[in-house]
Amino acid sequence: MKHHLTRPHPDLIAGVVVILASVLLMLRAGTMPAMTALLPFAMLGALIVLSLVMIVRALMRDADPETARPDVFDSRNRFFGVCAAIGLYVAAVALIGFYTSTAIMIPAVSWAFGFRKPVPLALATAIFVGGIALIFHVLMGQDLPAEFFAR
Amino acid sequence: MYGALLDALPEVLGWANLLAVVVGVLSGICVGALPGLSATMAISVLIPFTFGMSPLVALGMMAGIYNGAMYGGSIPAVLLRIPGTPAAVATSFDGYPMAQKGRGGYALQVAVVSSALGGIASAIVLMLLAPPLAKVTLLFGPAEIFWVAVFGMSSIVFLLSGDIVKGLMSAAFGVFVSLIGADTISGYDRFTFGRLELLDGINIIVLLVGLYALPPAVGLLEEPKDIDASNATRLSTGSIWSAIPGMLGYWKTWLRSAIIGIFVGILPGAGGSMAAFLSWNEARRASSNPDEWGHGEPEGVAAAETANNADTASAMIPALTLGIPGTAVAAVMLGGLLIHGLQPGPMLFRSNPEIVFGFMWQFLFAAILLIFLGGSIATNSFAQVLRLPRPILGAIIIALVFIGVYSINGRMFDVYLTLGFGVIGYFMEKLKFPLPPVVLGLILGKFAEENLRLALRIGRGDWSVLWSSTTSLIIIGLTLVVVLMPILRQQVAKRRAARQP
Repeated sequence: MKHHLTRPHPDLIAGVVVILASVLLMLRAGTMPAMTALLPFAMLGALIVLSLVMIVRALMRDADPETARPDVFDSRNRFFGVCAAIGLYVAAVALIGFYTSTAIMIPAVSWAFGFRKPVPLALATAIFVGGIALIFHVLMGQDLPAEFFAR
Repeated sequence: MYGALLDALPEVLGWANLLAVVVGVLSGICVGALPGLSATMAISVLIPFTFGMSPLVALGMMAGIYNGAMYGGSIPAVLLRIPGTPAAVATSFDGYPMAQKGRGGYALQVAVVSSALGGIASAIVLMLLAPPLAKVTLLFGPAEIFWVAVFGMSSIVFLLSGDIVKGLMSAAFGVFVSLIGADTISGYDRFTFGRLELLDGINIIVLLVGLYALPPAVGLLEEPKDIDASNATRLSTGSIWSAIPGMLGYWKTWLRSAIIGIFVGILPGAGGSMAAFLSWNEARRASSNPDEWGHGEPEGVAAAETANNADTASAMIPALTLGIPGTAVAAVMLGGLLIHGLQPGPMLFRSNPEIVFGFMWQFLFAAILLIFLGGSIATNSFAQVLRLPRPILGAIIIALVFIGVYSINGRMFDVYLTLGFGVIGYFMEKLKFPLPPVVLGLILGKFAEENLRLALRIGRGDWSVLWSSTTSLIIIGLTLVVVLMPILRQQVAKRRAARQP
């Protein structure tokens, strides 16, 4: 019961976020020519109405202590850890290049999230990075963000 | 006409032409299996190298790549829930849950057999019915195409989602995302916020990878397990020939999906994604256990894969007969024909029958070869991916996501956009919003809008143009049936339950 009182239902939060975003986007659509704005208005309007239905439903479910509430995170710390790893990887690719960042990211992320066997890690990294370089760089001529030492 | 078809066969059976198809299929499978590489891109890269080749060798490689890539896209869709090609999204609905249950190998076997059958059916239709079927497309003007799009969207929302409110929200979100960018009719910028990168709209791969690939990667790293032993130990990688008899029960799904795929392929602008979605949806509707779909039903894989391969040769029907490419791959292939001095259109069948009919045979052989080449390669090699420890697999998926998105336009902006969609996808999944309606909304949203506005222009603003043809009325009727049937079924079930003591 305490669990219900301290934390709003996730559907309620999602509904409010969708309504706020839709209203802001609707204000922008209001400046467009009529036919250009027709479908955006229809979709944003639909999102607002459906969000209201979802909010009402969530409030009714909240009132019923028997109803189970979905958990958003399996592990909050790990979720934010993964987000940080992805963010750092993307930033590193832009700064130091794709192959260097990937060669660092695969062993680092695997190590940080529980796989700590150096030989298989080095082998997997070498096979993956080498394979990608062979296919994308040598065979397909597809450029990925250049390495910092080759700029 | 059929005499010319048989006359073309001996030349196609020459070793150089057959080898070209084999190389094409193998390359296509690899290209399709790697997110970020597409059949269109591979064929575009290939075309300059075919200048010195005979036209049939060049076209054989293209036919092989196209067929191979359509199947190859299912490999990461099943194993990692990263669709290798947009057409493989629907394959992941049941393929990925099958892999999670330790049936990834069987899912790939179903995918390869279904892909081959879809491709064979499509090639036969291309060979026998190309000129008469091309005339069918003339029945579909903008109004009819608009209703086809509405039919697709309404059916997936009402039939797929247990929670109709969330299903509708997902579809509305997908349609809204499809509207971002310059309005193709008025040229007005919609929700680009001054970013030039958004003027062309949001590429479907950016959305797909964000919604479908990032959340499972996060999931792999969130769970503190070393190796996903459950998947690895129960991975079925037996002989494909011993698995085929068990699949024969899917014949109705194969037949229905092939017809849908062929029909969608003929429609300009529709493409394999729409074929796979509509087919998956129709197969689920016809199923006696629809609740199993989306949770690892092999027929779901069969439906999606049959349809997206049945779309390949049939997409060439308007391209070869009318010179109108319905898809990006067909357009690139027309380019391939042109550089060999072959002018697509009705005259092609008279001026170069041995090449045009030979090309059709090559589509058929490429589809048959899929079972031999795809079956062994996919099940015995690619399926081993599931044996990788979860943290390594998660890290590799993150890198593949980056490659797949970055290589579309070679810019970091798309990667940032994907991360944004990844966050949205993660929360949508946790809050039980269905993801397929988002993708279908993106595929069909702009398509529907463009055809609606085109129809209104043709009708000079008169909305009755939308229901003035018999074809439109038939599609509207089908849409109403699809929307009303689940509601009526529910009502009937409730009344029956109330009558029972």
